[in-house]
Amino acid sequence: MKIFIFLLCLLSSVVHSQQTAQSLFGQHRTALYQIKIIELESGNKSSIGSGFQIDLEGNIVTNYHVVSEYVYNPDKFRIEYMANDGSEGQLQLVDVDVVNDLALVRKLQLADESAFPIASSLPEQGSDIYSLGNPHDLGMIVVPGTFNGLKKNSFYQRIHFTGSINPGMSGGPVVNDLGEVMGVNVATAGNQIGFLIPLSKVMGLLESQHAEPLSNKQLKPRLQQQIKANQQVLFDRLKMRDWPTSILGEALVPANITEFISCWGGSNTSDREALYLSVESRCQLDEQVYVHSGLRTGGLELEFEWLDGKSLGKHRFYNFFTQSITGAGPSNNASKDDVTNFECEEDKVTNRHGVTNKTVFCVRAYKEFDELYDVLFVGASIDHQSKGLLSHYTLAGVTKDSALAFSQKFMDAISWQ
Amino acid sequence: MAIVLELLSRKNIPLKHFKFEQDYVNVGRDFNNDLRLDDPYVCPSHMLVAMDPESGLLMVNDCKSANGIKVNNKFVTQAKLNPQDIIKVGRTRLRIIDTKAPLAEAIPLSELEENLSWLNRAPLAVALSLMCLGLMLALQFFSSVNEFNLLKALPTELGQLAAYCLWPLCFAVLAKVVKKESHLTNQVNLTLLMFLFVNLLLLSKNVVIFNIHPGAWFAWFELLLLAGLIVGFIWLTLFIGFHQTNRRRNIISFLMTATIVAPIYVLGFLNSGDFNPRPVYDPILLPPTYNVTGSIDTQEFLERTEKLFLSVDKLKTK
Repeated sequence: MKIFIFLLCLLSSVVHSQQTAQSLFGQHRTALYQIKIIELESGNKSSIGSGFQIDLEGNIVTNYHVVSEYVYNPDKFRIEYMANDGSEGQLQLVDVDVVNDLALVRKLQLADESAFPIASSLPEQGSDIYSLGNPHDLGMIVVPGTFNGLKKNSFYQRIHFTGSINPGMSGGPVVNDLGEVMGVNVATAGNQIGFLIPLSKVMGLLESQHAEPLSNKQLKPRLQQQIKANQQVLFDRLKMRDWPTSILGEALVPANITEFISCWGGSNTSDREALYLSVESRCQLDEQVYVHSGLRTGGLELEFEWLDGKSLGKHRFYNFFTQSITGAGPSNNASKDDVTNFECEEDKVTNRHGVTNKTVFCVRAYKEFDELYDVLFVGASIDHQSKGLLSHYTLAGVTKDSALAFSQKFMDAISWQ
Repeated sequence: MAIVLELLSRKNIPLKHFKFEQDYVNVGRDFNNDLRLDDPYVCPSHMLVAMDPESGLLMVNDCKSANGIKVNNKFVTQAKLNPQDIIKVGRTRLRIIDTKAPLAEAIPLSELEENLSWLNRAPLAVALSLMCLGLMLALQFFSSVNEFNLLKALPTELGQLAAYCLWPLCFAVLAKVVKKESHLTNQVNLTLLMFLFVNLLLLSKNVVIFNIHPGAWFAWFELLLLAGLIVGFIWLTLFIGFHQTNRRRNIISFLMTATIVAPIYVLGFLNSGDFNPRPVYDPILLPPTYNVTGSIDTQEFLERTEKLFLSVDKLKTK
C-alpha cells in the first residue's frame, strides 16, 4: 500500500511538472526567440542560440558567447531573431556583460510584443525550475530540472541546475513554476548538471534596458572595461587576506588562498620504479571568461611540485629538474590577433625567507584591450643538491599592478620548513 | 737534349715519366725498344720518336704498326710534335714533356704541417674514441631519470660514434682518390677532438646562461661561434687531406660553412617574429655549486619586470 501511494505521488508529480511545462511553453513561446548570427558574405548563419524578451520595447536577453562573433567583427555579421511563429527580423546589440556571459539585443521593428516577467528572488533549493531553449536548431523546448542553489565556492556566481542543457539552448531563460525568469542558460558540465547565470547578474545587465545601443567602436573598450573591473575585484580579494600555507615536501607553499580557488594534489609514490619523488599541488579558478572562440581570459592557476632526487645524484637531478621547467605554457587560449608574443625576464631571486629560485617571469599584452596582460611565472629552487621546489602560476587578463602585487605575494610566500 | 715522355692513365693522370738522354726513342712491345710498352695492342716495333738535330723539333714516325698512332686523337703516320701533345699507341697514352718550360713555384712548407704531426698517432685515436664514448655515455646517464643500463646504452652510442667517423672517412677516401695520402688517423683524431671541444663548449654554455641570463645577443654570439668553429674545422680537414693553396682552401671552407650555417640561421632567426603562444626562456638549472653570480631580491627582480610591460605594449603595434 505504501509503495502504491509512493508511486501515485511520483506519478502525480511527473504529471504536474509536465502540465507546468506545457503551460509555460504555451504562455511564453511568443517571447522566446532563436538568435542567429548571420555572416554577411555568405548570407548564412554561423552560430545560433536562444534569447528571451524582457519588456515590451523589444529588449531580448541572450548569452554573450552567442553574439561574440558580431562583437568582434560587427562589419562582417548581423544579428537576427526567429520567433516561434517563424517570423524573422534584425536585432541590434545594446550592451554586453562579457564576464557573466550576457548580452542585451533589441528588435528594430516592434509588433505585437510579449515579455517574460522577471522573478523578484531566487526560489528555495529543491524547487522545480524549467530551462527553455532551442537546442540543435530543432525548435523550442522545455527542460524541467531542479534548483540546487548557487554553485558553492565560485568566484563567478552560477546556479547549479540538475537537468541537461544542450548546445543551442544557450541564452534561453530559466523560469520558476510561475513562469518568472530567474536565470539564463550558460554551460553544461556533463550529464544532468548545468550551470545558469543567476538573476542578480541579469538585473545588472537590465540597467542598460533603456540605453542607446553601443556603437561598433565602443564594443571592445566595453569588454576591456568589464574584464578589468572584474579582475580588480578578484585580485583585491586575493590581496586582502594572508595566504595560508601547507607543507609540500620540505617546503611551505601557499594553498587554498581563497575559497573560490580549488586545489588538487598528487604524487608518484605508487610508481615503485621511479628514482625520484614528485609531490604536486595544483590550484585553479574554475572558470574563465569567454571572449571569443579563440580567446579566453580571467583564469588563474597555481602549481607547486616538490621533487626529491633521492639517489639520482646532483647533476642527474638538476638535468631532470631542467626538463621539468621546460616548455611551460599559458592556461588560456589566445590567437595572434588577440595577444602579442611573450617577453620574459629571468634571474636568480632570493625571497624574504631565504629561498633562492631561478625565476622566469613572462608577460604578453592583449592587442585589443589596453592595460591587460597575461602573466606566466616559473620558479625552481636552487638551494638543495638533489631536491627542489617548482613553483608556477599563470594569470590571464590582469593589470600590471595586480600582476606585480600578486607576484610579490607569491614569491615571498614560499619558505623552507 | 733529352726526350721526356710521360705515361698517362686513361683519364690523363700522370703515372710515370721516362727520360732519354738521346735523340731518338724506339717504342714498342719488343724488349729491344728504348721504351717498352706492355700493351697487347702495341706492335713489337710500333713507332719512333726522334729529334731533328738542326731545328730541335720532335717528330713521330709510324713503323708500319697494325693499329697506327694517334696524335691528339688524329691518326698520323708521321708528324711534328709539340710539347703537351698526347700520343696514343694501342691503348697506351704518352705525353711529350717540354723540359724547358718553367714550372710553378714550390708551395712553401707550412709550419702548421709540422705542428700537426702529433695528430697522426693511432694510440691517440684510440684514446680519443674512448673519451668520446665516455662523454656520450655520461651525457646519456645524466639526462636519464630511469635506471641506467650501460649495456643498452652502449650500442646506440657506438653507432653514433661510428656515424661521426663518416666525416673523416669521406675525406680520407677523397684524398686517396686524388692520389694523395688518405691521412685517415689525422682526420679521425681531428673530428673526435672537435666533438669533445664542442661538447665542452655546450656544457660551459649552460653554466654561463645559468649565471648571467644573457639576452637575445647571446643567440647571435652562439651562431658566430658556431660558424667560426665550422670554418676552422673544415679548413683543417682540407689542410690535412689535400695539397692546395691557402686561397682555395679558405674559399672552400667559407662556402661549406655558409651552406651549413644558412639553414640554421633561416630556421632559428628569420621566423623569430612569428606568433608563439608559449614563452621562450632558458630553463637551465644547475646545482648551487655552479651559482657564481649570486642572486637578487624579490623587489629588485619585480622592478626589472616592469619594463617587460612596456616592451610588450610596443609589440602590439607591430
